[in-house]
Amino acid sequence: MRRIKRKRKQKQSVSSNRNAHPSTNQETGRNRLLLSPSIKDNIEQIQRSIGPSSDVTIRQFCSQKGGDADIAIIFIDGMVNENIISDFIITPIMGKVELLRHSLSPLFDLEQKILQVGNVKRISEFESLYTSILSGDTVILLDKITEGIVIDTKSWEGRGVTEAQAQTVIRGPHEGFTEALRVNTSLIRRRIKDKNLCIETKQIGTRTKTEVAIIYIKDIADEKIVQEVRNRLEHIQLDGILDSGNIEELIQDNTFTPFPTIQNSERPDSTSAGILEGRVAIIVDGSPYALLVPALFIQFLQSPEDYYQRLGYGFIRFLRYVSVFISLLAPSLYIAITTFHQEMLKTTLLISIAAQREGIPFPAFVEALIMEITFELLREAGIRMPRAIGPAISIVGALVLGEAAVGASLVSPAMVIVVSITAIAGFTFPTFSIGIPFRILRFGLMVLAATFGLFGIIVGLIAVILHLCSLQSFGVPYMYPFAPLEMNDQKDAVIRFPKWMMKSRPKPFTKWNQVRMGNSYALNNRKNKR
Amino acid sequence: MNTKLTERQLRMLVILYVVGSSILFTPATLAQEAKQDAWIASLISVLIGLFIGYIILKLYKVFPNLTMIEIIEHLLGKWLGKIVGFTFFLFSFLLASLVLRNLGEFIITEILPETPILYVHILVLLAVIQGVRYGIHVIGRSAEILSFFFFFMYFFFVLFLTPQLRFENIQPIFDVGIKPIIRATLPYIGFPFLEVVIFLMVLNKANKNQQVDRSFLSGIVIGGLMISLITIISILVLGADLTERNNYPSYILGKKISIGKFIERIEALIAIIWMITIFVKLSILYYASAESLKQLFQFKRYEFLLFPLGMIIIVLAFIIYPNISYTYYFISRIWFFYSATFGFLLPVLLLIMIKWKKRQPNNKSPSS
Repeated sequence: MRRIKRKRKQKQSVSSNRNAHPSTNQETGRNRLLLSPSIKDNIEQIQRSIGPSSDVTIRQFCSQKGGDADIAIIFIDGMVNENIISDFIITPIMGKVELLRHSLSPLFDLEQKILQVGNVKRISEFESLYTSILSGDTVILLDKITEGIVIDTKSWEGRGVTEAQAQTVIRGPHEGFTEALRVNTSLIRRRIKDKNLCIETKQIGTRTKTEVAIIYIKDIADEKIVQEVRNRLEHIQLDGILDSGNIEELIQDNTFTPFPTIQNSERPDSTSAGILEGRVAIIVDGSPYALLVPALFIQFLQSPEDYYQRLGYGFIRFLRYVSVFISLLAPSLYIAITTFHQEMLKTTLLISIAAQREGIPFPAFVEALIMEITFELLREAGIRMPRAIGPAISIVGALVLGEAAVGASLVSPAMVIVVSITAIAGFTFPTFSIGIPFRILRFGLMVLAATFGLFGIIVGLIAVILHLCSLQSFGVPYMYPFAPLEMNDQKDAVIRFPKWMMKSRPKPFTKWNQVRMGNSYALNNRKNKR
Repeated sequence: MNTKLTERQLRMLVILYVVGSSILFTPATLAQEAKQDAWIASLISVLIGLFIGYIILKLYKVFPNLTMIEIIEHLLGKWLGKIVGFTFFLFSFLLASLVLRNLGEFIITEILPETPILYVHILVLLAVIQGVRYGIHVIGRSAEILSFFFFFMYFFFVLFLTPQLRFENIQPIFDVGIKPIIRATLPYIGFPFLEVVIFLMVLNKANKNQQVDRSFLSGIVIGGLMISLITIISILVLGADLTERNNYPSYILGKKISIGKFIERIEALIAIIWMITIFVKLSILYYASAESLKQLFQFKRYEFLLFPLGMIIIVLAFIIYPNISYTYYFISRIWFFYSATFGFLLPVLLLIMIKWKKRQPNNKSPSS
């Protein structure tokens, strides 16, 4: 673990060195540039830097007849709300030009008496001026004044809040996150109206300047974990962040593992639930997937539905644990038993399988490999191809490959059943990313089963368990609460316990305020002291 | 970062270590001498094993932060300490190769008769090296998960053997007399219990805030009783004669399981129990070997030793026994005395030295 961390640090320092020369030179050069008293110079400077682009609009007008332009309004077409600009900025300024001309402190008058908008602030540097303009704000510059006014007019076309696509539930909220950061934070704020809910924002990406928000509840989340998240985000030196997946890959604990150590969620309700548990959410502008850290293995098998349906449904979660084993082991067990341990099968079953396999030219391993690869191809094709030809793939998959392969005695019907069960088990996971490691490891276990039988499967499983136990996510052991075993947190592990039994938050996420329920203030206090 | 072993992890490691590969051989070695009274011998052995664990704990209590190698060096001085420490390393290393061979032999005789033993050794060692590379705390965490499967399978195994129990198999009680019973305890004491001394390489990684002694001793007792239970069952089901004649009586028991005439011949699944325990035992021994070699030569880390040690251990496991009957001879006649040297005599000698040094306070300790 330590070794990997050191490596990452090295990588980061290398990348920072690489980036250092051009960016720092440019930035220090620009940072020194303050607004000059002459509006003409300022506008020229802006035109030199961002002016050539066609969407930059510079509206200049003069406050008195015959004079040079002494007021400029700058914004980017398409990223601003034109109504605000025309009704609440340009109209009032034009109406009160006289006031402005005779004013002793025009900026103050602009802010206090003229502009009819909410979010106003002053800037004096070109660098922050560019950033504001490029992120959709409007800037007003006046002649003979070395400060500008920035007005928040951000508004652009985006997808509305729609139903979550990948993590669906039958009962429970159907809203999903959108691509707009502010919409997403509002979806969370609407659910948690706590004054301690913190939304820290920072810009990441030297060129994309993507807004990234860290969301947590101050008096629940472990300050150490929050600080660790801040540090890791701070270390990212990249030209662009296009999705939370980019961030996930740069801040995860261990790159060389098939298992995801950061949870992603497109559902505001499950993200809020995570925040209430004391975890830290990371939302990236432009991505409908929030990240949740620290992530435990069990959390990838929890569906929000488990908590919304009545208790009986909590037991359905056990089924997902079964499907972990099926998805990992079914083909390899079939290979091992038919190749090495035929005595375990009942004689009638053995005879029927042997009869099916009679005309098949391949050993069981090759047969399984063909079917598994075919299935993975179908699945990948199903995601990538255009929606319109969707039905074609199901015909090809079901009829041609299933029926015809058996008819041509390339694979046995029993193998088709095994592969289908494996596939269906793989679809029961509430989070897509947890299915991937099992798909990958399945092939390794098939090789072990074909060479060493059940013994090989056991050694492979032990190796997987060792690997899982070695992982951690932001300092929390990945296999918690199984290893290290914590009886108190079994209430939300294999099956969900009744809500009134889930009185405390999971231990590793929070040092304070572990009690989340009940009228016993004294109990809360006692725990706090500890 | 939390890299200490918790109380529960330590207990699970001790249980799985004690059950280890002994569970394959012990019913047969006990039945060899004590016949149908083997179960009495096994219970006596557990008591003696508890005493051995107590002695080791005493030594641990004096130096809770030191490993066996460091304790030896601290008490015997640099040069003598290094020599004795090296023999201790050899003890754990030899034991590791014996355990590896036990597993390999078991796999190729019972489960995969056509597979060369070399490849079985290589496969297991790769997983062991992976675990030791992650560190003892990861092995401890894995032991928690593996022990869940272990206990589940074990009780499944015992439960479904109950219909086969024939109580006339242990009658008459005390037929063989007291002497064979005492003689029968020796290989059992030697095989898992005297080897528990290896835990002096691990205990310094235990969380001091928790009750190390309780989990250590309870681990020894639970592990010992689990072997005793298998011994009793194999005599009750197979009879003393068959138990004694079979190479792996506990494996043969798996063949007797029949659930509703549908689930039968699942001994290969039952063998998962032994694979888990042997794997954990091997990992601990391998860790102890690498750690003791590291401390003897004062290396900073042991990761680079793992592959070279693995190559040696594979060859050693290959030549260490000529065949399975020699294994039985070795376990019942020779091993007890070798492991008693390190598992009992050495700790007792060290404890006497500590007492003796305390009596002479002016005698300054060599390392300080």
